[in-house]
Formats: sequence, structure tokens, C-alpha cells
Amino acid sequence: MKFLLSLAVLIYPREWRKRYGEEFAALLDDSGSGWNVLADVLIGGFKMRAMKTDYRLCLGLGLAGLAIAAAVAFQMPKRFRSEATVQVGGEGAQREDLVEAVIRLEANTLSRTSLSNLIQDPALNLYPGERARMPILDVIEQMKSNDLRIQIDSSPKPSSKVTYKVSYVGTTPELANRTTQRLLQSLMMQSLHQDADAAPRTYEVLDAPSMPVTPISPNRYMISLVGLMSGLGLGLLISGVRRWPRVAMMGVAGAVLAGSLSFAIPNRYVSEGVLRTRDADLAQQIVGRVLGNHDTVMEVIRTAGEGATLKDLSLTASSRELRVRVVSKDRFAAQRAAQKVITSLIDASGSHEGETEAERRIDVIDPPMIPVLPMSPNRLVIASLGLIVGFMVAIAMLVIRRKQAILSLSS
Amino acid sequence: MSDPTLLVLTSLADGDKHGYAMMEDIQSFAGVRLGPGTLYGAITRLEERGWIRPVKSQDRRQPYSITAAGRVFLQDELKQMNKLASTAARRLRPA
Repeated sequence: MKFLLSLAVLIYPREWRKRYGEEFAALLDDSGSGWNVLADVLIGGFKMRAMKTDYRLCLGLGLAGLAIAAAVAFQMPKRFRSEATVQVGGEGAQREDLVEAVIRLEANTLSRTSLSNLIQDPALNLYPGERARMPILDVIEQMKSNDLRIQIDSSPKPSSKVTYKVSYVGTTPELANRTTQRLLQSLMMQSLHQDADAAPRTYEVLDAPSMPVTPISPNRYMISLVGLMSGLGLGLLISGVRRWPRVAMMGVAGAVLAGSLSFAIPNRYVSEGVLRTRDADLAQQIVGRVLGNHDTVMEVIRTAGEGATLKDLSLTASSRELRVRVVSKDRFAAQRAAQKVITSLIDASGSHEGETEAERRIDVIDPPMIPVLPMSPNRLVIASLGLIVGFMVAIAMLVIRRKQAILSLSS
Repeated sequence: MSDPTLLVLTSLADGDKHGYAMMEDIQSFAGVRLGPGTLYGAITRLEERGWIRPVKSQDRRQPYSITAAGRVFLQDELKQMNKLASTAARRLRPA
């Protein structure tokens, strides 16, 4: 019981133990031990911990977080979503074929060339601020990941029709509506082109692009709540750092050390390109021809630069789509090597200059670009791991020290 | 009366005492046995407010004494309690 009591005393804050520890131990010796005494000491310890938490700091930072988040939320522009619904059908068509057709339409419509034209169209003038400060490729990626959706109805019912929704989120209802209209037009144009040599299909616009009334974001209450919680969390963190400064220092030291070491790992860049062939068989044949040509593969590896291996080259065919991916320590070399693969694929397809649209056997949908940011190493993740390891080492040292203190106390 | 801070102040009102002596004293006049955690929780709060202070001692047992501010607080509390007790007694008296 005495050992348990000495353990329970460790719950009390360190400063408290420094001030009252000895006299409290004398009282425990005098008052005797028992389960009720142990419970009382434990409850007292937890109360003392709670009492020592810097509530004013937490509350102050929480309110500051709330105020900042609310101010930011009210500064954020409203965003409106416009949506249209299209139904694709065809006499005797299978759902799988229709879904495949829509996926191809989506890939063509969302290709970099198509979206770049859409963004830079003076009638729409999308993302002027973003375009002024970042490359168009990044603006396209942002648009694809945040604002633009082409979603196929996932109804499992067997049907000879497929429905899909096109939506765009813009800063004004009019802009959202006009951009969705343009996307719809682009899809329709692509479908005419695509279906030229396929079974006839019908495209019916079930719902024209909507004119949104209420914004979908920002959710100001949620942002304010996140600000409040972040402030409270920061307060608790500072309180924790004050209470366990060595643990915090070890954590920071671990993060700095791991972050610094991560700079010894060379950056690796990836350059990707997408091509589309006339049919799926041709795609498989071309991949086989290119990968089966030892000289071509070695030339690509050499172009990718020092240290590149076969693992750094990826060439996959999915239906009619061919995807090229080259990883290199040099971002320019990555793009050059990916371009070399694409040239080899075009050569292997038997395409030649001057062929007509109908004769074309392969198209480059997304040419390989010079990557801006490295794909690895992820320094933030490495530094975070260093932080966690630092915390764990410090906590382990603390536990060992406390165990030694308990053993000396009980002996 | 079961507020540990008032019990500790009352115990110290007639002289300096260390923790165990306070425990015994409180049990004798109030019939309440304060646990070590509860007692030292009260002692910590009272010392932070300046209502009690430690007295120099060579022993591991640390005696405490009530301060002037502590006496004032205790007197105020007693006045309030007396007022409450007399009001309750008056109202309970049969009409």
C-alpha cells in the first residue's frame, strides 16, 4: 500500500511535490494507509492537476482563435455550385460501354489542354489571382481537385442508360453557371468527336446548369469552432510545455534533427504523361513493343539520370489509356525521359506525319511536364516522426527516472 | 460544516498545527475525518490565498498558522453562517 501511495503522489504536479512533498509524506506516515486514503490521495492529485492548468491562458487563446477564425471566415469569398445532369443512352448499349464512354469523355474534358483553354477563356476569366502567382498546371490541378466534378450515377441497376452530373463551384452564381455550361458544351463536342466511329448514342440534358442561390461555403460557424478549438488546443500545448519543458525540448530537438537529416535524402521528381490509342488491343501491343525493346528502355533509364533504375519507369495500359511515369532526381531529366517514352510509344503505334484525324492511332492527352515540387522525401512527415520519437524518448526517460525515485523511496 | 478550507481555518484559529494534528483536531470538533489529499488540497488553496502560512520548523511535519487575512475571512464566514442559522431557527420556531 505504501508503494501504491508513493505512486499516487506522482500524480501531483512537480512544483507542488517540491513544495509540499516532504510534509505530505510525513502526513501519510502519521495517518496510516488504506484504500480510502489511496482514493483520497488520487482524487486530490487529479484535482491539483486540474487546478494547475492555466485556464486563463487556454481561455484567452481559445477566444483569440475564435476571433481570428471568425474574421477570416467573414473575409472568405462565398462559393456557389452549379450542377447539370446528362443522360447517355444508345440502342442496345450495355451500361459498361456507356460508363466507359463517359469516362473517356471525362478524361478528354479534364485534360490539361482542355482545362487550360477553359480557364484562360476571356469570357470566363477563371482564377485570375491564382494564375498571377502560380503556374497554370497548378491552377488546373487546384480546379480539378476543389471545384470541378463529373460524377457518374453509381446505380447498380442494369440499364441501357447512364446518368452523370457535371458541377462547378465558382465565386459568383453567374460564374458557376456559365462555367458549368461551358463544361457541358465541351463534353457534348467531345462526344460528337468520340462517337464518330462508334455505335450511335443519345445525350440528353436532364437538368440544365443550375443558377445557385445559396452559397455552399464558407461554413462560418464551423470555421469559428475550429478556431476556438485550435486556440484551446494551443493553450493546453503551452501549458504542457510549461509543465514538461524537457519533453517538449526533446520533441523539438527530434523534429529539428530529423528535418535536417531529411535534407541529406535527394529530392525525387515525377513526370507523367497520358496517351490514348484507337483501341485497347493497340494500347497493349504498343506497351509490349516499347517495354520489349531493351535499347529503348535503357535509353530512357540513361535519360532519367544518375541512379535511375528500371523501377523508376512505369508504363501502364488501361483500356485505351496509356500512362507514362518516370521518377528521377533531376526534374528536367524526369520530363525528358517521360517525353522519350511517349515518342517511342508514338513510333511503336505506327503513326506517321500527315495522317488525318480518322487515321490517327494514338493521341497525347496530357504531355509530360517539368515537375515543380519533388514527390519525395516528405520532410514534414519526417520532421513529425522526429517530433514523436523525441517525445517518446523523453517520456521513457521520465518514467525510468520516476521508477528509480519510487524504488529509492520505498527502500 | 464540511468545507475543508473552513475546517482547516477553524482548526488553526486556536494555534499552529501540522497536517496530522489538524486532521485529529477536525475530527474531534466536527466529526469529519479529512483524507490527506483533501487536507493538503485545502492547505494549498489557503496558502495561495494568503490565509495561512507555514511556520518555521526543523521537523518533517510542517506546522501552519492562520494569518490576519485568514482570521478576517473566517469571521466573515462565521457571521454569514450565524445569520443563516438564526434566520433558519426563527423560521422553524412554531408560530
